Order: sequence, then structure tokens, then C-alpha cells
Amino acid sequence: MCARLFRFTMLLMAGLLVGCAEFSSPDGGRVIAANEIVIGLSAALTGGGIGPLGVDILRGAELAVTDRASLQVGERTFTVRLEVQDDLCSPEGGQAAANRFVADPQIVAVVGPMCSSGCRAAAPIFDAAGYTTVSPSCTNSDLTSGTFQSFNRLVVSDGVQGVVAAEYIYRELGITRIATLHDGSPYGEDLVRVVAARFEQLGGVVVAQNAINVGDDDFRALLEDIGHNTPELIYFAGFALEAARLSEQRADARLDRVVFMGADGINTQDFIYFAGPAADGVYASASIPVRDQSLDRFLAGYVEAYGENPPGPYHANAYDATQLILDAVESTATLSTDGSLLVDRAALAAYIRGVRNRQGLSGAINAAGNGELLGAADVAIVRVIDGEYRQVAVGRVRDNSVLFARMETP
Amino acid sequence: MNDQPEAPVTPRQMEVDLLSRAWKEFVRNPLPVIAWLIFLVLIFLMLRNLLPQGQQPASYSPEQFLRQLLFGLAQGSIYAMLALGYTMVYSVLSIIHFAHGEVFMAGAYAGFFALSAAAQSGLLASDPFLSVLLTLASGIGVAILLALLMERFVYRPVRESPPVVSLIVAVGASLVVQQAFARLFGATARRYPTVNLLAFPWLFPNFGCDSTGADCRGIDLISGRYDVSFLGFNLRLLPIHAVVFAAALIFMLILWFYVARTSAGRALRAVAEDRAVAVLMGVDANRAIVRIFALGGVLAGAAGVLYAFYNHQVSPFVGFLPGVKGLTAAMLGGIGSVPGAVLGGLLLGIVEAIVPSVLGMSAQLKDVLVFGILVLVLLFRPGGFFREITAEKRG
Amino acid sequence: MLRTTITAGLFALALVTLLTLMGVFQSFAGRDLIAGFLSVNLALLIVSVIGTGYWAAWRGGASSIPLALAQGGGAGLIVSIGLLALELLERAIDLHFVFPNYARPLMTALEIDVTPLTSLLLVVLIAAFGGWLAHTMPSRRSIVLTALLLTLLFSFVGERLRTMLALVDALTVLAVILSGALLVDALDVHRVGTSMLVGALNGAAIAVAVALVARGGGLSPGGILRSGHVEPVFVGLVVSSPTVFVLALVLVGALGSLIRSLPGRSYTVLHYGLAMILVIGFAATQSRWSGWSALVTLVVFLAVAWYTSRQSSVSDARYDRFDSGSQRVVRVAFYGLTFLGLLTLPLFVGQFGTNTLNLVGLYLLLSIALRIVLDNIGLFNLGIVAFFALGAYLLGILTTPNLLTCGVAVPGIAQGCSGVMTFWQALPLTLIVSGLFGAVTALPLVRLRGDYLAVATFAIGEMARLVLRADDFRPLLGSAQGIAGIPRPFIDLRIINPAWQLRLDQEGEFYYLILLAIILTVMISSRLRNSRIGRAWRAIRADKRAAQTLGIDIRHSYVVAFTTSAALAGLAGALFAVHLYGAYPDSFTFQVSIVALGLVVTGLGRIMTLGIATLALIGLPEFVRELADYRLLILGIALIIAMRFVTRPWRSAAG
Repeated sequence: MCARLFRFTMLLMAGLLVGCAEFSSPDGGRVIAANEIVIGLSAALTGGGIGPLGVDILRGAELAVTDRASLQVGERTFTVRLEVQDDLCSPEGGQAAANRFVADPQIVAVVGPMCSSGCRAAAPIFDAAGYTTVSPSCTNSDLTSGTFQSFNRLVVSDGVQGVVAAEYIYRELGITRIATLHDGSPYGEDLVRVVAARFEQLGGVVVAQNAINVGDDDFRALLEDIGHNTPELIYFAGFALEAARLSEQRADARLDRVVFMGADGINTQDFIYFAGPAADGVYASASIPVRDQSLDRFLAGYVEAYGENPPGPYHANAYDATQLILDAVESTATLSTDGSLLVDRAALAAYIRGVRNRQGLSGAINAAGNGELLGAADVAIVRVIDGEYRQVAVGRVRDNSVLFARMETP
Repeated sequence: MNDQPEAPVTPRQMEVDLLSRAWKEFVRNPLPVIAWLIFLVLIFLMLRNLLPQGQQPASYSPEQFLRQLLFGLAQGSIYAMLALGYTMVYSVLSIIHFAHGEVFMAGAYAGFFALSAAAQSGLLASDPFLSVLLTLASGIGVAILLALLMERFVYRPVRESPPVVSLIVAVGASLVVQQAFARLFGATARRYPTVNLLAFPWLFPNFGCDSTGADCRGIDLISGRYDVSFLGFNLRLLPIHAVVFAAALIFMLILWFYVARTSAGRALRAVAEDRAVAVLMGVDANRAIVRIFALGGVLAGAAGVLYAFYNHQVSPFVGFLPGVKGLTAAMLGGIGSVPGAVLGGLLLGIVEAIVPSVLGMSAQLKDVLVFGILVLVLLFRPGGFFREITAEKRG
Repeated sequence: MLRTTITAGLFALALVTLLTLMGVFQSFAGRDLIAGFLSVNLALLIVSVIGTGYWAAWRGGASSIPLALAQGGGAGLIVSIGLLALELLERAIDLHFVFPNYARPLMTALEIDVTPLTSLLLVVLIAAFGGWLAHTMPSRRSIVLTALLLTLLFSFVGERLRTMLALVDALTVLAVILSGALLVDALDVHRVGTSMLVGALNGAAIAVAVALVARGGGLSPGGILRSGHVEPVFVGLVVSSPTVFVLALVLVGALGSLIRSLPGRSYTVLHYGLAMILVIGFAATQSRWSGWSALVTLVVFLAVAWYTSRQSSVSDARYDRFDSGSQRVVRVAFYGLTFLGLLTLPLFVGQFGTNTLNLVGLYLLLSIALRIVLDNIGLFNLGIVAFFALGAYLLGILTTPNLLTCGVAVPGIAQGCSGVMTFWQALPLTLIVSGLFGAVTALPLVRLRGDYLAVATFAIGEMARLVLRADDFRPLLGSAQGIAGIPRPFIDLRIINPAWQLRLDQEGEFYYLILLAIILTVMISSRLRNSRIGRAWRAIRADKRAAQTLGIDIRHSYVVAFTTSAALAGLAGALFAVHLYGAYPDSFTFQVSIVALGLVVTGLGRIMTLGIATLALIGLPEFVRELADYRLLILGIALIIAMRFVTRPWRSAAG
């Protein structure tokens, strides 16, 4: 027994030596590529509810690569390619995808991960390897609180969306009593916290705060409880299916007069399908790109390439993220003596963290230095009217106050 | 050997002796004490919510109670129908039919496709009653089919093994059915088309009238909502609650009639009581067991369709929680007892609707309550609160 | 006989239709089995059709070749007609509304449009081939089938495996082992010790030779030691740490010299292992997993299958002739070789591969923890995820600043405070508390019947899942956000030597921690099994009441089993949380318990098979993401089958 243990420990030490010898990364701080510029993409591509959103992100990035299929560095031209990994919208998946990318020194930067939990789990790995990520969809507000050097996001954070929602409810709708509800996901819980804080700051009252579980389908007793506190509006941060059931069961609990509002999670066709007639009059918020010619052209190209309307909301963000990375490569890349591409990762990261006044499809890109890239973007308030989402207002955040521009309602 | 401890003499000694005995008893079996403590905490929470605090009205009012009672009865009826399936299978095979929830789900799915077909072909608009019947029929049919397949390929091969083997196989089967349905029909949920089934115009002459006020067709059994004032309370009544409740009662009666009065039912009871003897008496045990599963399928299928009418959606994972709750209900009422299953179901539904609000628990922990009840019933009264009427079960 | 063909055909048609409607034949879009030649979808389809013909002929008793062909072809005909009918149906009604994953199998597999007649003929011919397969001699058949199956498996992951090692690595290892074995034969050595010495010397010689060639320019671009597209991983050590290289080859030589005298099963396993190394080495010479790679793989596996089927009994006989001392040395040598391989695995599989291995290792830990209770007492703890989560959250809470450690509810990431522990401080506490919870859980479960106990533990697991996510416990458990920012273990030996400090940041470094944990767990598990309490457990499993009358304290046995199981599950959870840098409620669902249960049940009680099962169920979907969709389905089927066919003591217990 002792002999075995001794032998094990000896071999273990040997193993550690071997391990240590091997895992100093070959050339950690630089990208070296022979012919291609490889951009990684991490999104959830499979899975019933979440798959379409990931596919949408992938398509946005693909369109960016189609539009900019090669880059000129010095006398050489390099082709651009996407390396796609499925991160399953989970922390384990995000981590696995990150490990895949970090092992490949050809990858210049990564678009993704897609879900907040994946972003959080993958960030330490990217940090350790000096990689840069630009996420088109991770909205959790504390991701940019300063801990992660590698993380950037090209999407409106929950911190902004929640503030606009709270302001709209209080100032534009004139409602002073709300009840909040979230679905137990990191996204929902974070958003609700922001909304409640801002709403109370404005002088409103949050009469009830509750949470449900994803997968529940009977909320009548809960709605009864909420109704007991007489809110004027129920704010739900979550996704389409539960939102649909809540919106429908309001009537069962005699709350049909209470306004129902959600966030970008319910700003989908799925919600309208699942809620049926109860969808009418429901509000939602979403970060929207400014509707202009370039966006229209992009959408037309999207429909032509893929044969359907975008099934998710982040395609423009993904497009911009890819283009931003390519811009960064173009400006920081050099050629080595044998003609291969050299990119200093630190310089790339600095470029992205310092980009200013760039107009993307999803809005004006201005790096705030902590990873936020779309800080001052617009948030739209939409409402279901006659079975379709219509914009009713646009909120613009300037210096911690929100200005609303109302749209004409038909 | 006379090593008896000295008998306590002084009152103080008696005190110490009592204390040490109580402590030893507690260490040996701490559960009753802990259970009582938890119970007291719950009572405290409940009172805190029921009584008004200073200026504020109570957090929980009688009106809330009444309304939640109605919701609870509806959910409870569904649980009752599921519990009957568990209880019947247990009474015959002494196993827990863990995969019963998936039969429920399959019925709901089949109903969805039937109803969608009816909606697309216009049958739903022209003859909603027939559409509903067709939906129920297809739901029940598919549920029976799945139940029979399970009996034949999942439970029968391990019938001679200990019951835990059947449970694990059932867990596997439940997984397979869920995932197969997800792959076959898509993992996203589907919405049941809205059904407007107007009925009983003679009972409710002023309901369901069209714009001229002339053609009154009664209340909407599936999608209607009607405000009613009852004893000073404002209630909103949903006829579908009554439909579900009535369905559960009707099915229970049919089941009771079948088991108690028909010869096939007699065969079932014989097999339930003692399979070996029944076989010796000439009863075809296999056929009886198949019939039991089919009956369970009927109930689960109907429950699935009704549930989907009530909640407007089906997904491959919709059977998991109701299945567990049905099992809890069956155990609560006494697994093996038909009236116990129904009472257990209704009780569980009501408890689930009311208790979280009374205790001030969050909605996320609502299911913790149900699972807690399951654990408690398993630990303390596996026979349930209504001991079965048939002779003592073995094992 | 016609009837069997028809029934077999109909049955196969039902299965194939089911698979088609599930979209199995279009799941692996864009993934090639053999690059540019055979897509995975097409391969799956072909395998299904061959299986149809094989099964039909087998059922019908294929007594002659034409008969076998006819039976196979007949079944194939039924299947193809059925599939064509399905295609017609698709045109008539909106099949995608009901079955959104449906895709016409032949069209998607071949990626071209085929006429109905062509598809019919193809299916019939391939099915006929399957029928022929059923007709060939059983011994030949098993060799062919094993080789085909392994080739398919390798082709599936071939593209990933290709970069693991270079041809020169494979050839070096093989040269050492084979030349060692030949030397031992030539020198007619009988004693085990002398064999090992000869092998070690041989290994050293080859190591020195390779080192000389490498130093002399063999490793520079264009040198003879560089062939193909992959950097030599093993031989590359000559440059970075030559001592390790020589040491490793000496060990390989010593252990490999015994290759001719292993017990039968180990012999086969070792040969297949060497074959895999050779195959991967060859694949490294190609730029992608090509037809050549697949062909060479097939040939190598055919050869090894044929060779081992003949020689394993000879080796077994030789092993039996040894005295028990020598036998033990041989066994230890074999396991030592395996262990050496495990130690060096991160070197070959790279960072992502090691990440996968780490996940596999963590699930293996959990499965072994479950196995303690399941295999010994026969209790199904369906709520083992609760202890897994307990360990994870406990470690997370103790090593991050939050309510417990700092007295302030600080979500997630913030500056440290004095109450925050290090990993090494927190781990024992975590284990103790997990064990305590296990003991407390065990007490009320003692008098429960097997299936009631399973349901009760299931309920406990579900309660844990809900409690972790609930807002009510946010200050301590973090509700939906979980506990983030858990630091990796920090090995601080600076008092001995200022340079000896290491934070286990890298996947490769963490790998050794997990490996150590697994070894400890296995040791504890086997210790317990072979002790008095292990025997008491098995007595309880056989017959609880009889064990009680024999004087075995049931409560004590249950408590010890559950305590150990809970503590080890807590260990797995702690490592899991540290690996993921956080403990998030989404990671602790009923699925985890089910996966652990499935692994233990299909692992047939042996650690080796458990390891392979875990590798297949957890590791494979990491490499082939499309499989993740089917993981639970396969697990469910495995559970049903395993519970039926595995013979265990409680299956035969009185009803």
C-alpha cells in the first residue's frame, strides 16, 4: 500500500512537471496566422427556444463576412473566416467554447458568447489568455463592472433598458404602482432589479416583487396575490412562453385592466403566437437600431440570403461586432518577416476598448472604457396593436436622464 | 445480573432522569420533534399573514381564499385524475407507474393535433362541440396506446423484479418519451387554439348572445369568464373549472362502476388482492393488468386534454410536474384507494393554491411545498390518510 | 419465411420512419465522416439500411447466400417503399406542422435529388449486403463488425483526434513496445523482473537514439522527424524536457515488455490502445480525415481484431503460468502503463480536450459517489444532485466574499475580507458538512422500501434545485445569479522554495487535481467495499430483513454509506464549481442525477466500464455537438435496457 502510494506520488510529480512544461501558451500575446483571419463565434445554435436567436446571431456575422471577405495588410490580402462553436446558452458550454478558442492561436477575437451565464463563465478564460470578446447579446449589467478585461458588448445593457422602461412607466404612462415579476433567469432577475430601483427613485411604489420558474404554466394563484396589492402594471422580465401565460391568466384573476409589460425577451413573434388574443395591449421594450437606409439594405439582404425574416433581435449587433473586430485587425495588424499576419492582442483589445464615434447598424458605437460599446443607444417601447408589435415611443438616455419621442399610434 | 439503575428518588433526580430519557429518545428518532417544530413555524407564518397588522389589512383575505379555492379545485381535479392512474396500477402491481405523466403529455399532444386539424378545416368554428369531442377522443386514444406500449415493453419484462427496478425503468421510459416527443414534434411549446363552446342556453338565457341580443346560446364552457357576486365577495367564475371538476367526478364514478360492478372489474379486484390466487381461479392476469393500464390511459389522456384547454399550451415537458403531483396526490390519499386518490388530488390542488399565499412563500417555492408533502407522506404515512378498503397489502 | 422477412421489414420501417421523423438523418449537417466523400448523415442512413437487411436475414435464418440476399433485399424493399410513401405524404399534407424535424432522408443524405427508382434500388442493394453479412461465419463476422464499428467511431471524431499526436510519436512508442517484446522473446527471458529490465534498457536506447536524431536536426522544419501536418508532441519533449522524455520511454519500455503475458482482457485492451495510437499517428499525416485515414483505420482494426482473437488465449495461458507474485507485478505494470498514459493525456489532447476530460472526470467522481450507495446497498439515490450542489455552493460561499464570510450581502465579485477562506481551507469543511447532510438524510430513509426511497430522494433533489434558484435565499445563495468569481486553488509552497507557487488556472493543471480526486475516491470506495461494512451492505442488499436478524445494524450501515456518498458527491461539486469559476443554479437539475444514475447502471459495476461510459456520454457530445440533443434519449434507452439485462443480486430477490 505504501509502495503504491509512493509510486503514485512520484508519477504525479512527474506529471505536474510535464503539465507545467506544456501549458505555457505557445505565443500567448499574439495572433499568428498564415493565410486567414479567423474570427470565433460562440452562440447557442441548438435547443428549441434559444436556437433561433443563436442562428440569427450567426447569420448577422456571416453577412458581415460576406460583405468584407478579405482584408489588406501591407502587401498581403488575407481571407476572413468564421469559426463557430455552440455554447448551449449555459456556463459549461460557454466555458467549453472559450477553451476551444483559446487553444487556437489563429483566432483574433470572438463574437459572443450569447447568454449572460455563458459570458460570465467564459470571461475568466478569455482574460487569462488575453483574448478579446465582443458579445452581441449579453446584457447582464454587472459584466462590465470592471472585473473582466476581455469582455465587451455591443448591445444595450439591462442597466439601460431597465431605466428606460421605468421612466416610461412613470413619466409617460403615469403609473405609480407596479408589481415586478421575473422568471428566475440571471437576465430576468437583473433587469427587474434595475427597473425596481429606478422606479422607486422616481417616486413610484413597487407593491409586489415575485418570481416564477421557467416551465411553470399556471400563475393564477400568484396573480391573485399580486392583485391583492392593486398594482396598475405588472412588469415581467422573462421570455415569451411564461409571459404569454401570465398575460392570458390576468383575466382569470380579474386583472385584465392591469397593464402588462415585458422586455426584449418577449419582443418576438413567439409571444404573440402563444398569447393569442391576450397579447393585445401588451408593452415591451427593446434596443432598436435607428431605422435608416443602411439598416433597410441589411434587412433586405438578410431576407434574400436566408429566405425569412430574422427570428431573433441581435442580427445587427452581431454584424456590427464582426465589423468592429475586422476594423481592429486592420488597424493593428502587421506582417511578419515571412509574410504571415501578426496581431498583438493587447493592441487589439485597446482599440476596441477605445473606439469612438463609429456608426454601426445597431447604433452609435462609443466605447465607455469598461466594455460597454453601445452606451448611449436608444431603447424602443413597443406595444402589441392588432396582433403586431408597433413602436409607440423611443427613449434616449443622456446623462442619466431619459428623453422620450412618441410615435403616432394608428 | 441485577444491574438495574437505581430508581430516581428525589424530584430533582426524576427531572434529570426524564430529561436524559427525552434526549436519548430525540437522538434515536429526531424526526417527530423536527416535524413538530416545522409545523409550529408554519402556523406562526400563517397567523402573521392572516391577521391584520396595525393599520394594514391582513395580507390574506377571505376573498382571496375563496378565489384561490376555486383555482385549486380545478388543478386538483386534474391531479385527481392522474392520481387514479397511479393508484390503480399500484393496487395491481405494487409498483409506482412513474412514467404516467408522459401518458398525460401524449394525450395533450394528440388533442392538439386533432384540435388544430379541426380549426384548420373550419370544424371548430362550425361545430365546436364535435371538435371538443374529437379532441378528447384522440387524446384518450393516443394515451391508451402509449400506456399499453409502456405496459408491454417497459413494465412487463421487469414484473418479477423488485419494485425499485420498475421505478428506474419507468424513469428511463419517461425520459425516452419526453425526448422522443421533443425530437418528433419539436421542443418548443404549441398553443391550443381558442375554443368557444357555448352550451346550456336554457339554463343561462342571457348569455352568449350575438350583437342583436337575439340568438343566445349559453355560457362558454371552455373560454368563458363571468363575474359573479357571492355572499358579498366578488368572484370571477370560469365554467371550465366546473367542466374539469365534473370530468374528474364522472370518470371516478365510471371507474368505480367498472371496478365494483362489472365482471371485468371483479377480475381486476381479484388480481389486485392476490395475483397468484386469482390466476389459479382462472383470471387472465395479463389481460387484467393491460385493462388497468388502459383505464389509467383514459384518465390521463382526458386530463391532458382538459389541462391543455385550461392552460392553452402543450410542450414535451408538460407531463413531468403534473405527473409528480399526481403521484403525491395518490400517496396523500392512500395509494391503492380510489376515493383516496380523488380526495388526495383535490386536497393537493387546494393546498398548492392556498398555502403558499397564506404562508407568504414566494411562487418559486410553491413546488417545494408539494415535494415536501411528498417526502413527508413517504416518510410518515406511506399508506396515506385513507387506508385502502381492500385487505392488507403485502410488501 | 416470407413472413419473417415481411415482419422484420415492417419493424425496420417503423424504426427508420421514427428516426426520419425525428430528423436524425439530417442532424449532422455539414459534418463529414470521410472528408468530401461520406457525410455523417449518409453514413447513418447506410448503417440503418445494412442493419435492416442484417436483422431480416438473421431472423429468417439465412441458410444460404441467395436466401440471405433475398431476405435482406426484401426487408430493404419494404423500407424504401415506406419512405417513398412518406415523401408522397409530405407533398399531400403539411407534414412539417406535425413533425418539424422531418427531412427526406435520401435527399438530404446524398445532397442531390434522386429519382424514386434509384433510391429504391440503392436501399435494396445495401440491405441485401446486410443480409449477406448475417450469413457469414460468426467469428469472421464479429471481427468485421468490431473493426467497422471502431472505424465509424473514429471517423466520427477523426477530425478532432487528428491533431493529438504526430506519426513519429506513435511510431516511437510502438517501436519501444514491440522491440521490447521481441527482445524478451529472442533472449528467452522468463522472469518478470528481467523482462522489465530488458524493456527499460531497450526504451532508454531508443530514447537516446531519437534524441540524437532530433538534436541533429531531425526536428527542424523538413527534418525526418517531422512528417505531416502535426507537430510532434511527445518527441517534441526532447527539446523542452529531455529527462522526462527518456524517463517516459524507459517506463513505457519496462511496462510494455510484459505485453506478451497479460491476462486475456488486458491483452486485448492494450492492443486496441496501440492500434488507436497508430491510427491517430497516421491520420496526422493527412491534412484532414480523408478516405485514406478511414481505410488505414479499417485495415489496422481488422488486423488487431483478428490478431487478438487468436493470441489473447496464448497470452492468458502464459499469464496463468506465472506465480502469484509475478502476476501481481504484471497487473501493476499494466495499470501503471494506463496510469502513465492518463498522466500524459493533457499533453496530447490540448486545452479543449483537457477541458472535456475534466468534465468527464467530474461526472466520473459523481458517479463513483453514487455507486457507493447503489452498487453496495442497492439504493437509488435519485437526489444525488442535491449533495453535488451542496458541495459546490458551500465551497463557493466559503471562498468568496458574501453574507457568511463578510457579514455583508455582496453579490459575486468584490474585494476580499478576512472571513474568506482558501480552497484548501474550505474543502475539508465542505466535505464534513456534506457528509453530515448525508447522515441526516439517511436516518429517515432507513425503513423505506427501495422505490419509495428513490422517490423520496428524487423529491429532495428537486427541492434543492428550487431552493437554489429562489429569490428568498438571495443573500446567501445568490438566487438566479448564483455565486460568481470563485477562485481557483492556489498551491502555496513558498516556505519551502520561493518559486513553488501555482494557481491552478490552466485546464491541464486542474486535470491533475481531478485525477488525484478520482484516485482517492476509487481507493476509498474499494476500501469500503472490501471491509466489514461493505459486506454488511451487500447483506442488506440481498435481503434487508434477514440482515437485520443476523444482527447487522441497518441504520448504521445506511448512515455510513450515505455519509461517504454525500461527502464524495460534495467533493465533486466543489471541484465542479471551482472549475467553472462559479456555482450557478442552472447546473444542478434532475438531469445531473439521471446522468449519474445512467452511468452507474450501464457501467456494470466496474470503474473501467464506468469510465468508458462517461467518456461516451459526456465527452463525445463535447466533440460532436449535435449529439447533445440525443444524449438524454440514449440515456433513457440505456436505463431501460440495462435494468432488464444486467444481472444483479436485487433482480433475483423475492418479489
